[in-house]
Amino acid sequence: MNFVTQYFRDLYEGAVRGWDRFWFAATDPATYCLIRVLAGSMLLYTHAVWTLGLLDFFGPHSWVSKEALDALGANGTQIWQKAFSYLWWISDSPTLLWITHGLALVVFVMLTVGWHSRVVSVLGFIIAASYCNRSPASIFGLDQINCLLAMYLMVGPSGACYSVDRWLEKRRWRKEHGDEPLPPVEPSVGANLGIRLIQVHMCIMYLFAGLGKLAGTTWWNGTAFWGAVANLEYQSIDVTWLGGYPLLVNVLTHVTVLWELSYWALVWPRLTRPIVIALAVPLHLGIAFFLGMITFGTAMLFGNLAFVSPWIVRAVIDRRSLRLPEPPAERIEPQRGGKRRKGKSAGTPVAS
Amino acid sequence: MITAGAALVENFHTPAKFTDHYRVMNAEPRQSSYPSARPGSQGRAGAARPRRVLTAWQKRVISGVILLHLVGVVAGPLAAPPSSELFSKLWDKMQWYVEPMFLNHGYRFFGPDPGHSHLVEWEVELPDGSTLKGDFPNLNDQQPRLFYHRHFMLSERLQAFPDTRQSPGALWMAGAIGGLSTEGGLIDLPGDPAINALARSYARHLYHKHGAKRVRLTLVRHLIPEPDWVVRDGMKLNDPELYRRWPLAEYTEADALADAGTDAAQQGLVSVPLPELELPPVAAPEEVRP
Repeated sequence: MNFVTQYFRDLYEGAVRGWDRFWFAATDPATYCLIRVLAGSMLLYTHAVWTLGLLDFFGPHSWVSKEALDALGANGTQIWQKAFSYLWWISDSPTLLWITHGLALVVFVMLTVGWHSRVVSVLGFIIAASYCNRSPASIFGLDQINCLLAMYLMVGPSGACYSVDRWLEKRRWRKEHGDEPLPPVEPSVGANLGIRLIQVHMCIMYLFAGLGKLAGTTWWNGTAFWGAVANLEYQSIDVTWLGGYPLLVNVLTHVTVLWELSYWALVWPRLTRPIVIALAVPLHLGIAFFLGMITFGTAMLFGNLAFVSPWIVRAVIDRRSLRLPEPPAERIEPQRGGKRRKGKSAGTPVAS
Repeated sequence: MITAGAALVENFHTPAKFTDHYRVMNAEPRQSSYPSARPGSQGRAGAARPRRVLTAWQKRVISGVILLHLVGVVAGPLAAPPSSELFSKLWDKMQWYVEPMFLNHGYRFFGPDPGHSHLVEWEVELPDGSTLKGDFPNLNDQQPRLFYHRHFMLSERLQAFPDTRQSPGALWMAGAIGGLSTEGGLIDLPGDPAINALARSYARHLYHKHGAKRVRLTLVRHLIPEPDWVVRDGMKLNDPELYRRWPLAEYTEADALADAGTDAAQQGLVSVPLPELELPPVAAPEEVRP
């Protein structure tokens, strides 16, 4: 029995250590802040489009009336019984509706540029959820991912970099310290929590998207892809020629399901992560350009960004951070197996 | 002293294994300073503000919140029909959290099967006897694409609320085999008053928007053709044979009066006799479709 006890003790201690490392390690907020910029832009665009039908969707005689929502709540699923929306308080007053809508757009502009990020990230989520809860019959996947990202942007310092907040901090620092450079952005546990929550939520989302497809027939017989591309109401680019290549339709159908079902497992290992994320690009861009849901496809890619390491974000956005002094001599000419590889610097590019 | 910033550059410029990059960037914060530190900042670690470290109790509390949240995240898709009694109870217990946080989703994109799409055709009869006709979604009327999609979801919702004990595909099947009753002029979807409530709500919206006397809605199901029909026979996706129509809802002045009474009752004005409904001024028809 002793080894059994030891096993469970090790299991417990390993789980606690792993949990602690997974959630509570501090991380560079670069990825988190980039997601703020992109998600904020999407939230801004989404709500700007609501402007076109503000009274139709949220006004006194909106598409979805209070009675209809009550009926939805009374049909056994109780879906919207506790859903909060401040829009209910003002839906009878078009003037108030327009004023609050204008303020909502201002909040999303502030979120995008990162001005008073901590406050507007909370307001952004409340606003986004309120719009969805007020008109649930007109929402779709875009709103789910929008609110998901807005929710997790509340968790950490989403304005730590790539933001007006950071720019203002630099200005204040210069006033107080002159030419002394501003210290780099601190690694943050909050940013790590936010990123981890997005990652886990994305995994859950894809897992259930895959499991939901297993309940259907066409995802098994390989024709579901045709069902998507031959739907005129979704279609934005005609690819019905795919119908002439049934095996290709089968492959695309099965790859979609397999990718969704395996995402939660394969996106974590370091070696498979790039492949999994790379496959997300054609999948979601396909939805964006062929099924007419550019916003949804793009927003899902924003969610996938959570799996992109901060150093990659820094490398792409903060190009200056790569212009560093020459690497130490012992690293320039790596000796492997006593042989030096041919070519300049033996495969070690020199910083340009 | 080689800081993590320098280590990053080494790794970036050295075609080492991919995992090396990862290791450097995910190094324990205590063992390495900030990996993406800017040039010139490597020796300034002491200049940065001291990092706040969570206490054990703070971590326990946050861990509890995370666990609660994750249960809430999975409660939505687990309770989406068809679901077990266990998951239904889980939903009941978590509803207080899931709904305000907007986590009540099934995440079944294009599942269980990509189905036929649904549209709504409307006909508005104005007080002067003229009629307006339209439909939604309609790409000509609703731009940009996201705005069109909002209207598309309105019409799609008319088939999206199956009976709670029925699989999502069952309603689709019922429609596919013609099991939907159209007697009495209204579509009769099994066990789902929400569909009728939504349809009535759409009609009511059009009634008030156009200052109408009567509104009629028709549900249009646009079937997906077989690949052979398109590729071999040259059928277009908008071929009239692919459309099925059912009368969906009708909204009249009497309904508006009844709704006005309901609204007044909700506002505590039931003791005041209801005035005769005064219709808004009739707008000139901007577009009359054949």
